[in-house]
Amino acid sequence: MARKWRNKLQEWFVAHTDLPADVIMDLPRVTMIGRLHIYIENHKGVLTFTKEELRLSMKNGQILIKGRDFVLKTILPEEILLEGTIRSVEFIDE
Amino acid sequence: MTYWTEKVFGHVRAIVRGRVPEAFINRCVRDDVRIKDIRRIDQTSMAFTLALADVKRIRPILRATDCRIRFLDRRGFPFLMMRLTSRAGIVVGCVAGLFALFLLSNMVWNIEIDGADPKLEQQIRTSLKKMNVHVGSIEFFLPPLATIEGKLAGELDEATWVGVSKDGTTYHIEVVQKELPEDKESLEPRDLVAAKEARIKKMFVEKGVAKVETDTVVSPGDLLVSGAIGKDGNPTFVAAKGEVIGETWYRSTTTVPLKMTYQTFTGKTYTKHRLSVFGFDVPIWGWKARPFAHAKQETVEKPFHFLFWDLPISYKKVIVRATDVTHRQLNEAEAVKVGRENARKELLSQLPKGAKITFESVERRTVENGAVCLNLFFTVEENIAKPRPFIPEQRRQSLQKKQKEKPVP
Repeated sequence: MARKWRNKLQEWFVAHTDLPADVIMDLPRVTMIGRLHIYIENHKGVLTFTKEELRLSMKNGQILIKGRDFVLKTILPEEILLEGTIRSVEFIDE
Repeated sequence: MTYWTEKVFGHVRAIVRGRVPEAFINRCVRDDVRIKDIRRIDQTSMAFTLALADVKRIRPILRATDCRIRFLDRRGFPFLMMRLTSRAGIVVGCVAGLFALFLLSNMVWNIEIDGADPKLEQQIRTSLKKMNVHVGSIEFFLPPLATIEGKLAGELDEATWVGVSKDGTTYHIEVVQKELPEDKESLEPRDLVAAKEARIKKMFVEKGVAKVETDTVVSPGDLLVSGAIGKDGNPTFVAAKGEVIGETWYRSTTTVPLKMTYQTFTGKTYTKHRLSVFGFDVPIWGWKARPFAHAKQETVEKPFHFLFWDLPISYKKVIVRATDVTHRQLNEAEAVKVGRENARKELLSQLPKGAKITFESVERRTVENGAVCLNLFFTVEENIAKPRPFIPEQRRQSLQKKQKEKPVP
């Protein structure tokens, strides 16, 4: 019950102030540069990583990135920089 | 993305092999071990790059995730150093080679001497050798060009002018040799006449006829020794030769201050060595800023060369010579003595060789403004003879004319 209330409050905050949603709701922020780079903040760990696929754990669910020639350039506790040719970014609900 | 920190501190490329390599990545991120450039190789292995400093911290992570590691590549400065130390011979060789090249660039390779005959050239080479300037000497230790020039000019009597210049590793020495006239007997008929007003003291006539007697007073231009000898009617003409010692008189004025301040060198020196790099002086030896209370300093600068370039580095030698400030207080008698001595020296420097002072006296002595003013009188004995050539035909005519006039009265 309390959790639902908190979510409601956060959504209201995002809707009625100019504060970015990722800061308030702890959502992933995904930045792409063409299809060469993808930069993901607020991830919760690597689930699988191959040349064609990167699956990251999120707060609710997963994010699945598909493409070719993937290289994890940098990986830090909260952010990831992936290089390669990106074909799709997909959100998977749990 | 290779940062300079990686280059300096070194990094390694490795392959991790395990059932779930992703677990290894997550564990690394959690334990703050920075790994990067991760690439999947196959089902069980991944390649990644790791900072050299973190290699030790990776062991417990491997154990926890049940993975094995294999190192592929070592890059960066620490590994470069390791490789270099294992090839110490080559490195030492390269450094030694560069050093040899540097040394050879700063060496005297050639000394060219222009304008000297073989004898003088030999003389120049020996005196250069005394100053350590010879083929193969290192330039930093050589005296500056001006000093070499001065020393050579002082040592060589036969040279009117010596110029020393340097072009790369070659020293050029240019000499203008004195054209020493051969000491030939003058065959031109000539007389000897008085150069200045004097009273004749002694005469030594080698050739010619003396026309004056001792103790006569002559004025400038008076005939002393005639070049016409023989009968008046039919004379022969020679170049008169001889010495006529006359007594001459001089007056001079000198002033000697009673109180004087002057600087003398104590003989103590302090040498500072500096390396001048891009105009900044880096002290190498000699750290005292002011080694003496009163001093004068001189600087010798030697640029470094490499092949044909002048490096922006030069060696500077600063020689500080200690000076002493001395006050001299003279009483009047002492001042007179000093003044007479000075006047005597000055007079003799103006007179021809062999002149000597036979008498001197102080005519007037005044003290004003803290200085003694002296009027001095000198009597000097010196050679007053001066050659004067004549044309034989004219002389013959004038002599004949004189003879004609003679018997008349």
